[in-house]
Formats: sequence, structure tokens, C-alpha cells
Amino acid sequence: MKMIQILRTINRDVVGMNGRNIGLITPNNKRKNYKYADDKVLAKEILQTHGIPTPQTYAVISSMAEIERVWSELQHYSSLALKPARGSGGKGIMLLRNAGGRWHQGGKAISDEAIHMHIANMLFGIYSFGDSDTVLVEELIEPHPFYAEIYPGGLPDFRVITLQEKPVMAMLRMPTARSGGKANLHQGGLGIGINMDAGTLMQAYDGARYHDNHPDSQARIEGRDIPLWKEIHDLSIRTARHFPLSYLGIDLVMDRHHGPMVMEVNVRPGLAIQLANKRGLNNALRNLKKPVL
Amino acid sequence: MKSTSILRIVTFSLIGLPLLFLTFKIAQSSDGMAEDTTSPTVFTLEWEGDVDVLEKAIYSYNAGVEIKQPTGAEPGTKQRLTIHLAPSPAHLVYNIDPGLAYRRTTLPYLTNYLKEGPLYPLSRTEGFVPDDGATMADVITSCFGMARDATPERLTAFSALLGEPMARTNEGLLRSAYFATLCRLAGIPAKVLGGIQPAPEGGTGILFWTEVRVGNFWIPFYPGTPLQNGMRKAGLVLGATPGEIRFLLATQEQIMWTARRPDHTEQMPSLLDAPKVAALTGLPLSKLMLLLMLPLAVLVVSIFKNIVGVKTFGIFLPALIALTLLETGFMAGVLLFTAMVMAVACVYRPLSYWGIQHNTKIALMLTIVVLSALIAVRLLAATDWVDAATPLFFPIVILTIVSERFAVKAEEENMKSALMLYGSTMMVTALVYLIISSESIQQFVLHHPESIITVAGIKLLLGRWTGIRITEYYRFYNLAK
Repeated sequence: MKMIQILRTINRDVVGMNGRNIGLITPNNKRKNYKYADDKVLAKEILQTHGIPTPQTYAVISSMAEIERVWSELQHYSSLALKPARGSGGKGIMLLRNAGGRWHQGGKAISDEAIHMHIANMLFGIYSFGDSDTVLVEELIEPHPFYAEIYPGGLPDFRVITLQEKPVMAMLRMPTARSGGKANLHQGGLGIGINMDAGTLMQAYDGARYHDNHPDSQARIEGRDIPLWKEIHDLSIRTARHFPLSYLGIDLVMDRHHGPMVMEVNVRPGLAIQLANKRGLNNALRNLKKPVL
Repeated sequence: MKSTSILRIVTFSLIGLPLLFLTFKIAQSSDGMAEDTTSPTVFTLEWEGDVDVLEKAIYSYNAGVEIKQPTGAEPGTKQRLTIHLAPSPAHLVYNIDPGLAYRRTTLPYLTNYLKEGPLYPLSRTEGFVPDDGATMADVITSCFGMARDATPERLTAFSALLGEPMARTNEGLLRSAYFATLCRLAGIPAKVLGGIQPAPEGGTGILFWTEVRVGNFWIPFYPGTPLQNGMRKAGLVLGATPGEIRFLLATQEQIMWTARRPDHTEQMPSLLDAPKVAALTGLPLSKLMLLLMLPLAVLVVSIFKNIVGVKTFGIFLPALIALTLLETGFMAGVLLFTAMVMAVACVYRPLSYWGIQHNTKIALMLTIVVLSALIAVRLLAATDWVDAATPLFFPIVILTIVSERFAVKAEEENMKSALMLYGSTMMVTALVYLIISSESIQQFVLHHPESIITVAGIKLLLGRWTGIRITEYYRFYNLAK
């Protein structure tokens, strides 16, 4: 009996893949506007135009011929993030740090040729469903000390789902020892639910079970206050207002020096946020008093 | 009117109209069927050549030959008709699986071939009683032996049982009819067919033979006295798809022509009857069938993706692989396909390690697919496990895409998730295969091609379905616990 109860709750409250695609994405996001979210270069242009903080762009590489020239101009930076402009799910991102005149990736030295090859692969569209792509070179975010109190390592980020400029649900994605610096849930990262009214963290979900403490550091997660939550919340509303897309997943990071910044926006935000919040999106939408499905 | 209500009307009309049409067709056919059983071997022939020869054919074959002639044609003149050129195989080999157990056919669409008829005097013929544990091959061989070795007295006695208009002197016809009658008595579908064969001294003769239904195929047997080395020389080509048979008219010119053998669905009116299209255009019916099966196969895949929530390599790949398996056979096809995908996927890693560009890498993998297909053909030629040409049935591009997707998945995540995805793709492929290999469904789609409109309607319905997928109940179980 209990199981039937659970299945009925899921059926009533949870938004599945079909519900998301047909009930949320199609009516709210016009396909011709997808590009403003899918292309990180275009998205950043919108963000910068409206004064929304976002990591600084150092360079955009759009052809093979530019690789060597742009790369030589980037040598004075101490750290870089290289991203395929139309990549998804964090695929193809390369984080580089300069130490003693040599570039390092994840603590290991990496040759210029290997970096050029990676850039060329990004341009060829290997991370972007086979279309040719451009490469975005931007500043590397230094994580806010708040994260290290819970778990030092990797770059955690916030995901806020907005519908018609209203935040519906939010979570903090945090790496674990198992996820190896990645914050994605399916790679072993944690999804931590957020109480948006109180600005506090709730339970953490690792893809199989819930935790109140970080499974590696044992630091308390549940009930912890999020510093600058108000800014994060307002930033996501401002972002949603300036995109011609009404159903968005906004990714924000908190930089040690610059505070909350919008990293990217997604037109097809994933469904795991419901697991992190232990609550279905339909349930959250009903509470917004805006029946959508 | 709201756009959703328009959509609803469109959806249900798409689903409903072909069904309505089908009901009409079935109502029509039940009238036609009663007459049809009296002449179960009616041919419609189209003919270019001397009308005298055709008249001889009509005389020998007697009952139920209908010739479409241009109106006003004089006997003895040449008639213009469509003739299709096609390659003719040197000979054909067919084996009945010795492990195939004997049982009486109960399939409803085959019962027409178990009935009494002018050529099949079941009630007055003494049948053959199979031993317990006899195989299909045993029973057919025994029946065949009885017909081939029947004494002239026995044949004369059998001839007296045949319907009055039947030619009683053609030995080939008598033995073929006797064999078919014995098979029908044993519960094995069988029928007598007739064709035109080049005679040794030039000109043409009439040939009769029996086709027996084994598994999904009509297998030809020739129990009559061999005429110019029998069927082999006549170059009869097996139409693997029911409803289609070809005759070789003249060995010298290598001219083939196709005559359509109508079955009981002949009487049904149809917007688009695939066998009719095949006869008119000379397209192989099997290719038309694959074409008509594709929308259904893709529907099955989308049901698995959208309702069950199984993940596959794209929506078309399982459907396309399943269609390929129809030609190669299931087990051999799946094993060989998997072996080739894995072999080619192994190449991805070194190519990626050496820093070969993505586009070039795909192009290289395609070359490797072609090479490995040739190697597989060479290796298989040394065994008698499957037809050595099997690897060539796999579309090279599909093999390349699957290998590449598999390798990318293994690189981006791990080997386990790549194998899982490949496994679920093959599982869906197997279920699609199960559905599209059903002969009832094949026949249905061939004779009622408009049913793909219903398939489109169901897809439209599926496309608006916002419910939770079955696997999502598992995924979100912890949320509601």
C-alpha cells in the first residue's frame, strides 16, 4: 500500500522528462531563442549588456587559424577556463593554471600542443553534437570560502530554476571525493536542496540516498545559512528578466572576490533538482499559484 | 477553435480513419472470400508473346486462369505488356531444419491452404499418418515420396477424384496435386502452382509444382517427372515474400517476368495495395515491406523511450538495426553486429590518444568498418555457421555511427555505462524485431499500407503525453519515500 502511495505522489508532484519537454520547455521557450542560452558567448553578451556579473571573457576563438595567435596573447594570465561555447553538461571544459611558466591541468603539466589539440577538437564540435563550435576563454573562478567549510575541492555551483521570472526551485551542487571535482549528480556529486525563503541548505542527495552531513568531510550541511543568498536569488530574477526564455535553469557560482556571478543559463534544465529538494516541481509550481501543467 | 482541440481532432482522425477504412475492407472481403475458395490458385498473367501459347496454358491449366488482354486483340498476334529484367540465380538451395518439429498448422491466415478444393480432394484421399515424434522434414519427405513414386494406376485413380474441368493427363499436375493433397491432409499448408517453361526443342511448355509452407516460407517441390532437369533449368526464383512469384520465360534471353499470385486479400479494395504497387513498378515486395515497416518500428522505439524510459542510441538506430536483422536472421545478426561494433570501437581510443581530429576519426572508422566487414565475410566463408555475406547486410553507416557513439560514451563516462546503453539499445532492437518479424503484421501492413497513418496518429498522441515514464518512478522513488 505504501508503495502505491509513493507512486501516486510521484505521479502527482514530480515533473518527468515528458512533462518537462512538453509542459514546461515548449510553451515557455521559443526554439529560435534557444541560442541565447545554448551559446555561452551570446549568453554572456546579454549578461554583460545588462550589468549582470559573469566571469570575465579573455578571448573567443572561432577558427583553427586563430589558435596559435590567441594562445600566445593569453600567456600572461595565471589561470584560465576553456569552454566549448555550445557544449552541455560541463563536457569539454578545460581548467588551466600557470605555474613557473608552464600550464597545468589538475596539478599535472600539460604541453601547448595538447592544449591546441583540445581547442581544435572543441572547434570541430566534438562536444557540441557534431556542429562546429567556438571556444570561450575566461577567468577561472576562485571558490568562495563558504564552500571549503563544507568540502574543499572542485567548484560547487548553484542552480536556480525560474519560470516566468520567478525562482521555483534551487539547489547547490557540490563535489565529493567520488565525483573527482565534478559537481554533477550522475558523476557522484551531491545535490543539496535549498530552502529559498530561509536561504538555508537542506538535505543532500548523492544519487542513491540522503545525507545531512557531507559524506567525505562530515561537515554539517542541513540547516546551514547560505551567505549572500539574497544576491543569488535577486541575480537569478534579473537574469531571467533579460532572456527571451521563460523557463530557465540558471547556474551561478560564488567567487572569493567578486561574489555571486552567473556562469551560464540552460533552456533544458535537468530534473535531479527535484530529488535534491525532496520535492516535485509540480508541487512547487502549485505553490507559486501558477498552474502550468 | 482552440489549437489544442484542433490537434485532438487531427490526432483522432489520423488514428480513426484508416481503422474505419479497414472495417470497410473487411466487410467487403467477407463477401468476396466465399467465391474465392472455389478457385484458390487464380493467376493474373500479363503476357508479351504469342497468344496461342497462352491459350495452351489456359487449356492445360484450365480452371481459374484469367488473362488481361488489351481489348480487341486478335489471337495469334503479339501483345505488348510490361516485362521486367532481373538477374536469375543459377540454382536455388533450400533446406528444411531437421530439428523442426511436426505440427498441424493453426495459423488463421494459412487455413485457406488446408481446405478441400478442385485440385485437393481431401475427403476422398487416403492420407499419411505421421509417427509420434516425426519431424516436419520426415512428414514432408514421406508425402513427397508417396506422390513422386505413385504408380500410374494410383495416379489415374487420383485423377478421377479431381474436379471435372481439370486436366487429367498432365502427369506433373497430377503428382503435384497429389503431393499437395497429402500435405493438406497432414495439416501442412500446400498449393499447386503452374508456370510456363522453355521446352528443349524451343517454344514453351507448362510446368506444375507444389509449394509447401515451412516456417515463414513457401518451399517449392517438384514431384513430377523432371522436364529438362526440372526446376533447376527452369530457373524458378523463390519469391521469399508471399504474394510474389517469378517465372523465367526464356533461358536464352534471360528474361524474367513477374506474375502476381493473388491471395484472398485480392478481393479487398485498397487505396495503396503494396503487392499491386510491386507488380506495377517491378519493385521487390520485400523492399516495400521494409519501407512500410519503418514507421511502425520507430513507433515501438518511441514507446520504449517515452513511456518506459529506456535509453537507446538515438531513436532510429534500434529500428534500423531491427530491419537489418530481418535479412540476416536474429541471433547471427545480433552477435555479428555486436562483434563488429566492439571491434571498431576499440580503434577509437588510440585514434583519440594520437590526437586525430574528430571528423577525420569518423571517416577513418568508416574505412575500418568496411575493412572489418570484408574480413568478417572472409572468416565466415570458412565456416558454415551463417551466410558469409551476412556482414554486408549491415548498413555501413549505421555500424559506424553505433561504434562511434559507443566509444564516445565509454570515453566520456565509462565502459560500464557504454555497455549498459548498448545493452538497452539491443533490448529495444530485439523487441522491435519481434514485432516486425511477425508475418501477420507484415502481411497486414503490406495489404493495408494506410495503417501507417494510424501509426502517425499514435505518434502524435504520444508526442503530447506528459506522464511520468516507468523508469522515472524508480528514479524519483527516494523523493517520495
